[in-house]
Amino acid sequence: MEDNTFDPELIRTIFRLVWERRGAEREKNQFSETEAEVGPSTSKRSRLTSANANALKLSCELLRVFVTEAIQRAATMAEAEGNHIIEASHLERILPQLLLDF
Amino acid sequence: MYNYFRWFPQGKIVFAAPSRPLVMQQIEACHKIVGIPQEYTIDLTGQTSPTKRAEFWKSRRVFFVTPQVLEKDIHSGSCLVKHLVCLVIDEAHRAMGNFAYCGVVRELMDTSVQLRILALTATPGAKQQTIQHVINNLQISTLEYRDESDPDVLRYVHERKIELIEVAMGDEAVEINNLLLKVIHPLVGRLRAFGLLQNRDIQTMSPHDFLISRDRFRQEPPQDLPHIKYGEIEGYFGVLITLYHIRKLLSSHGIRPAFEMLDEKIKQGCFARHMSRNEDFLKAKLLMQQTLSHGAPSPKLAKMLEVLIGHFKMKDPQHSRVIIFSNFRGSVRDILNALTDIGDFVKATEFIGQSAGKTLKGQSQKIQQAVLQKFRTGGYNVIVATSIGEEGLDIMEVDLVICFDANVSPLRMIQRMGRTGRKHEGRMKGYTRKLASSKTVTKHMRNGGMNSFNFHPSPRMVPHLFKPEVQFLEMSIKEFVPRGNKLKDNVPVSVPGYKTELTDSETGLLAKYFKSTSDTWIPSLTVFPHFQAFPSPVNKVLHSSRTGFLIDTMQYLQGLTFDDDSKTFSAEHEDISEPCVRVEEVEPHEEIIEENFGPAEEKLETEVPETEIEFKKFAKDIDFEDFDKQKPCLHAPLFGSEFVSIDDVGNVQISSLPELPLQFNAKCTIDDNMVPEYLLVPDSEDHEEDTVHDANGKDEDEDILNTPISSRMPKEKESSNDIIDCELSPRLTNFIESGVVPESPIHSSGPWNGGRGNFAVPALVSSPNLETEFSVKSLNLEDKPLSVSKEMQTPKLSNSSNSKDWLFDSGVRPETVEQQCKFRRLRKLGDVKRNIPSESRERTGPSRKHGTSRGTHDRRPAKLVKGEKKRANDAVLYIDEEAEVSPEIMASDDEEDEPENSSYEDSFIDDGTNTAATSTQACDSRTDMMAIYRRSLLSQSPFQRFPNFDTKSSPDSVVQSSRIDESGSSSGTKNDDAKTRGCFDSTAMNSQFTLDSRKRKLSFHQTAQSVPVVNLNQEFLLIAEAACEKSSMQRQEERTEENIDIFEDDQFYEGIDLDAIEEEAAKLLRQKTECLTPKTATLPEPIEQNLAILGSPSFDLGF
Repeated sequence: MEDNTFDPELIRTIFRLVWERRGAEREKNQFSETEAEVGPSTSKRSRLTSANANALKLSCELLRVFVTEAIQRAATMAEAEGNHIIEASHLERILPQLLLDF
Repeated sequence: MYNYFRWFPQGKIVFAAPSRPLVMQQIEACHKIVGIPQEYTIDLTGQTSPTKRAEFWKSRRVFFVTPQVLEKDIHSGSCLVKHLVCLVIDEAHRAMGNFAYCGVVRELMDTSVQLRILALTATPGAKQQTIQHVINNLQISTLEYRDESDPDVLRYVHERKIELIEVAMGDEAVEINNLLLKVIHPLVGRLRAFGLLQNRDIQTMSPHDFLISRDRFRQEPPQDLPHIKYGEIEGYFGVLITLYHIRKLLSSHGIRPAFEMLDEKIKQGCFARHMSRNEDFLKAKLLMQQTLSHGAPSPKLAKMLEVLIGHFKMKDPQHSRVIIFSNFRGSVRDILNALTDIGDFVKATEFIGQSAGKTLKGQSQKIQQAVLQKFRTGGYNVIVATSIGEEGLDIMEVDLVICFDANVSPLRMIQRMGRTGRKHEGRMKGYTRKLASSKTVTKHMRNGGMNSFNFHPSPRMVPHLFKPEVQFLEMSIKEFVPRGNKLKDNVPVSVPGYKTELTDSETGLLAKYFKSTSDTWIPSLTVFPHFQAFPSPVNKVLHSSRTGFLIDTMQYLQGLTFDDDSKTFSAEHEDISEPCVRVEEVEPHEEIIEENFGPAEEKLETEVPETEIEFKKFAKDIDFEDFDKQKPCLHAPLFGSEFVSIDDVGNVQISSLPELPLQFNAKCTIDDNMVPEYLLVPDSEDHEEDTVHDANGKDEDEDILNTPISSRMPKEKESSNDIIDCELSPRLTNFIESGVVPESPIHSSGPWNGGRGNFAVPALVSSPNLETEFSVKSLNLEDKPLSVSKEMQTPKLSNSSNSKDWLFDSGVRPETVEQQCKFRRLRKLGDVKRNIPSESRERTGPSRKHGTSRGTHDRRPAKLVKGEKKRANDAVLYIDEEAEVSPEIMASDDEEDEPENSSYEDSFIDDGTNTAATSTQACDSRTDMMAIYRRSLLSQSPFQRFPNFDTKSSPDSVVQSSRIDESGSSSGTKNDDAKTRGCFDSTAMNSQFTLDSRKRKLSFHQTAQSVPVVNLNQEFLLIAEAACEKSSMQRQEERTEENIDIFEDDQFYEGIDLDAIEEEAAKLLRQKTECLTPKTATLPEPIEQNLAILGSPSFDLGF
């Protein structure tokens, strides 16, 4: 675990954004149901997902490894072309295998 | 409160309200009124986890809490008591007895914190004592009273009309009431007789009176009453209380609740005992039932509906809100039912507490909040509430409050009244009696209560230097963000601590990439398919198996044929089908092997066919990771080098041997067996295939040892396709079976045939090579195995074997090899003879050879017996042994046969030891023998081969074998010596064995039998090859003769510790003692053969 990983708060915020979006979708889908109940906010389903501190740390580390690996691989692809700038195409070349590796 | 907020920037302010909805309400109110910034405020209720609360206690300044939480947090210390400057207590009249307010205040006083306590209530209490209690509990120092008429309250008070509508009870109710009174009357009279009740009108008495009387009675019962009466009196009291309660229900709520109560009570013992026989009571009950069955509505309910309808006619149903209070949930339900009938404009719901009753489920706080929310927003316009709705709920729009039963305490009535008229003018309707006498109390309070209450001095918190002045501030109040129920929503919206704002360049960068959010670039996974056919370079994270799959798939899809391997394999197969070069044959064999071993195949395939050996090795390695690996290695070298690399193979074997001495040897032997078979096969494609199959079968057998029996089956099938092949394969299978485990009898039979054929073949081969002698030997051998159908097979086999032999010869100088083998045999014989000088030695020598061959056979059967247990298996084993012998013969004519025999013996010995340890080991030993044979064949230098075999077999230790091999290579004599030594060892072993058990006897027999053999051997030695052949013949004969004995010997061998024998043999070999070991080996082998041939039962016994 390296020190210079992502800021957990940043990751949490990103996660939260995703969760909120998903929660909103879910609520939309279940709106009719919840309306029959008394309050939309009373059901557990609508409660937001959350992550505790350790999970967040782990997520940060995983993301860090993922990103560094992606960059390194893309960099090797770029270098193989004699290019010193990683471009989208380089990333695309390594992406499928990268995704399968994680 | 706001003052304290301003005055004490570090201080904490706590606002305590008794219920969670109130807390939520107050936090909003405070925000709206005084504009305390929301980021300083937090509401803490039981829903918030304690750890979170502790955080908030540190970070926030204004807290809206429930007293229970406050008390707990003060206890746990998470609440920073020292910083508290102000505690506001709402609904302070609750601060009675043990309520959490009192605990909080006590705690705070104990810590001697200077703080201001502000207690608020609209209903301090009806009596002076209660107010004093509150004051004491909360340490109140001053009391301020505001009346509706006071100017600073007046602004907020709207006109309120209080109407009292009296509704006469219905006729039925009156009648029931009278009946009940009749029931009550005698009971009351009886109690009065005891002097326990005051004389009062029965009608005006209430349950409360009876409760008081009963308490008094319990505390100080009248002196003159006997104790027996106590129970009776208690009963009367109980019944009376119940009855009065029913009466009250009847009067205030109607017949139904009363009846339900009565119905419930009558099921209980005491009441039922007193009432069940009472005529009036029963009559009352009947009447109640009748009225209920008619559905007669309570007149009160009717009146209430009337009022409601009238109200909604006057007011817009959308904006008017009505609360109906009732004390009982039962009547709440009644009211609700009634309300549903009157029309759409009434949207009613219930609002009750959490506790679950029998008939109604309670509402959870969440539902309560939801109800209130909807009530506020207009989803409902009528709430039918129990007492839960009385306090503090601030619903501005309520303009009508109906108290369905008004005979509750004045305090509650006031609270109920407080629900209305907050925003608009409202009405309060009571249905029964008027408000109680709270006027006296108000008088007290109006005077500031200074005279009547004891106050607690509290220090002035603002230094006297400052004289606070009243300021009128324009307060800018931000809009309140309702917290809602999603506490977590805005709790830590904590903005990530990036305080530095983005620079222009950064924002430009962002804009560059994120401006067009609609068409963000999404990396494509499919644009570079060709890059997916190869593993991409990796930094730290290695490729996963799924990536491997992807790569394989992509390769396949793109036709990037690394399939070359497969093609080569196919080619190899073709080669196999064709009678091509041995190498090719070997390749097909390898391929077949690979095919047999699925997993290994792939790897092999990947590797180029050129390095067939490598493939084989890999395949073998892959297939037999453990023992199998070693075996495959051996096979591979054999195959790859085909004959040339025999030495290498031998080396390899040696190398492998040190790693896994016994097992490896066994494997090696198996491999060797396979190899010879292969060698034989190459001549005829079919034979080759068969051999391949055999080899495969062997490998499979090995595998089978590991696991796959099925693999053997297919191999066998393949072999069955071509008879010869079948024969060959059966041999292999037999060997395999014998070596590995007992296969199915059918397979065994197949292998038998094959084995026979093999035997015949070797015999034939040997015969051509060795001429008549060999043939005789082969015949003899065949005859021996023939017991079943060896003869029949022999012709076929002979053909195949011949071809094989030829192949071998061509490949490896077959003739020379054979001759060498012969020489070897001769040498061996000579060695034996040399050893023979002592008759016993001589005897041992021939016995060795015979025994070796026999022993190998015997051992095999023994193994087979061990593995298979079935006689058929045994026979197969025998056949296998024979086959082995034959291949040996094939490879190296008589001499080879001899060495093979010896090796077999050795292997047998090993096997025996192994078998002792485990059947697999025995198999291994067999395999070792095979390997030895192969080596010998391959190497062409019979001496080395033989010595190798001997050494390997006897010493078990590779090193020894290698040494022996070296010696053999160096000089046949040396080999002979080694052999002789081995023979001596074996003999010694035999003697030991014999000593150990019956084997001794057997060995003696063998020795006796062997003596002629020895003689023959000697003759052979003299005669050289011919002699060898004869010796082989003799051996065979001896074997036949000795078979019975051998059987016994086998048993003995089985009994004997093979390991010990091996060790001994190894020692002997090391010592270069004469070939006693071969003798021993021979002895057990013949025995085994005999056993196998003669009778399987003996094998069974051995097993």
